[in-house]
Amino acid sequence: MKKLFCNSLISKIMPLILALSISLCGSLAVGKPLKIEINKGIIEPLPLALPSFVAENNLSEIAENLTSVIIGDLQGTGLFKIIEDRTLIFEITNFNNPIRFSDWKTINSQALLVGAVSSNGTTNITVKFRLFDVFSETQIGNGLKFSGPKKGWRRIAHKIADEVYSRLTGEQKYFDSRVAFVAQEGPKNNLKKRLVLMDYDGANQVFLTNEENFLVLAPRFSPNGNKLLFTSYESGSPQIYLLDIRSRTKIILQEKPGTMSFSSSFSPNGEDIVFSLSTGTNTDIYKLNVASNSRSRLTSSVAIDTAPSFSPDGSKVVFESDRSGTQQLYIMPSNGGNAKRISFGKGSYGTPFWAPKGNLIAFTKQSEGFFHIGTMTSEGLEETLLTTSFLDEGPTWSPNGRVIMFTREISGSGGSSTLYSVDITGQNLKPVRANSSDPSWSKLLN
Amino acid sequence: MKFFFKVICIIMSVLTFACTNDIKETNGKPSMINSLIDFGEAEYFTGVIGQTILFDIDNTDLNESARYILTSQAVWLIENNKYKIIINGYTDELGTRGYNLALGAKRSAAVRDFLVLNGVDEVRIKTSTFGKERPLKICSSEKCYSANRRTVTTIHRN
Repeated sequence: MKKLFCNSLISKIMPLILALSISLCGSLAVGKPLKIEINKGIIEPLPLALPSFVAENNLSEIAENLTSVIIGDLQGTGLFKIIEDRTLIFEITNFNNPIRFSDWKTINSQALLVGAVSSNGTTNITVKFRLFDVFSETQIGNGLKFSGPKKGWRRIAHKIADEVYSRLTGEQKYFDSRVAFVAQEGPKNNLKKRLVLMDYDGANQVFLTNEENFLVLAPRFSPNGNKLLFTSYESGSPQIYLLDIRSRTKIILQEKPGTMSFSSSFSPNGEDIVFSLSTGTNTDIYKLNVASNSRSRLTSSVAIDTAPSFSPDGSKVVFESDRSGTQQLYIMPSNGGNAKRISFGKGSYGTPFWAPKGNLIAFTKQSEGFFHIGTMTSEGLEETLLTTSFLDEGPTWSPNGRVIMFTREISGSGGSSTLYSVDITGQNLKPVRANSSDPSWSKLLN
Repeated sequence: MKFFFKVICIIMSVLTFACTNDIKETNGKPSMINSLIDFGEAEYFTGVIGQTILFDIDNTDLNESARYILTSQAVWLIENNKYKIIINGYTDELGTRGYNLALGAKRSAAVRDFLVLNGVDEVRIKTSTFGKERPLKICSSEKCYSANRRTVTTIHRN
């Protein structure tokens, strides 16, 4: 009876203590706060203990799934070593029980994530979590809870993983995001290509086009993530279409007889698109205002000008052109005008893609028989090659600008394309989805 | 004038096949082809004159062999004016997708311009590009790449 009283007292007092510790943790923390410094070459992954989330009302399956998605997200960055041993100390039965930091220190975990899943009805769940610095015995940031429909548990998991990632690295979030890409099927000389949408980690794949009679290429998200630009052969020749993801209605944006349009992307405010238009032997870059359908020409060289991408502030456009004899990268004002060449290294450069923030530009480089994905600043400085292979191309940025996804093709008659991702440090190169190409990474979902 | 073109064309075709493959092996048995096909038949265009033009790496220039085939195509099209054509441009797989689409478009436009210059009414011609999509051969060596850097002229009736 006494013991029971004690327990209930503890359970009543603990939230108060925890609440106090949340508010005091900043002032109580001794020494440097726990944080991973990503920009320092090869990183020793941070040991993070991640016991299964507590299932409060018969939700053990969701709790298990949720935990494994969080582990997948964090482990997938290459920045964390997840400790998930099923030893006794991992059996957390009550979210509000005090943390015995000495236990977690013995297994050398530096951070600890505890969470719980509960349900207040039949369709909704609530997931809460707390993150701790084991050695300074403090909570890192406030405890948080997310509520949503049961079927949305994956997004809740990504949101929690995003919080943990962001708190421990100081970087912005990126797990709660989607990727549009082209799925490929069949022999290499007659590939069937369909537009697909998936969570950034490959889950929840949805086919957006089912027509197998014509090719689709190069999807690009609108800034709000609701629409996709892509190139389709539905009319016989390549033309740009705009697809509303929710209603699946699509409209052709350019249908001038005798012309072909492709390589499209949105301006940061979503009002304009830039794209390539081929008329006769010439391919130039044009801008189209989506609402008014008014079109302006941004380049007028006799060369091939293609793959335009807006700067994050919308004031400039980076693109590739072979006006100097080989494909190189150029930057011009977003209303056209003088273009300044920024790439001067050995080889040729294409598919420039401006990072969602800052001044880094990702690109494809061809040099001495190999393809690379790389980055340089908008001044053309600090060129860094992140990958090397027979054929890597078409980088797209994660919402926080930390990771690049691209297409890698294997040589030979059976050579297929696979989506890969790599950190901008060049670390953590890994396949994302087989038989796929042309990824476009959305912004962080709302 | 038409007759003159026709004679030139037939002479060129005969010369072509005299130099190359006027006899085709079929199941081990030789059989005469081509010269028996009537000039007005679609098969003459596809089989005797040829639909495919090949290009050098990252290049849209029409070489001597290309101009030779295209001159014959022009003559045939002028004579057989009930046909329209689609010219599709293709590239090898080395290169990025957008650039290769533009390169394929440039190749098909180069072929279109040559045909127009040689008397084919441009309203009969459509061009398109597949870039590096739809390669003809799928090995990753120059043997296949050289066959994939091409335009293909397809004829159709209205």
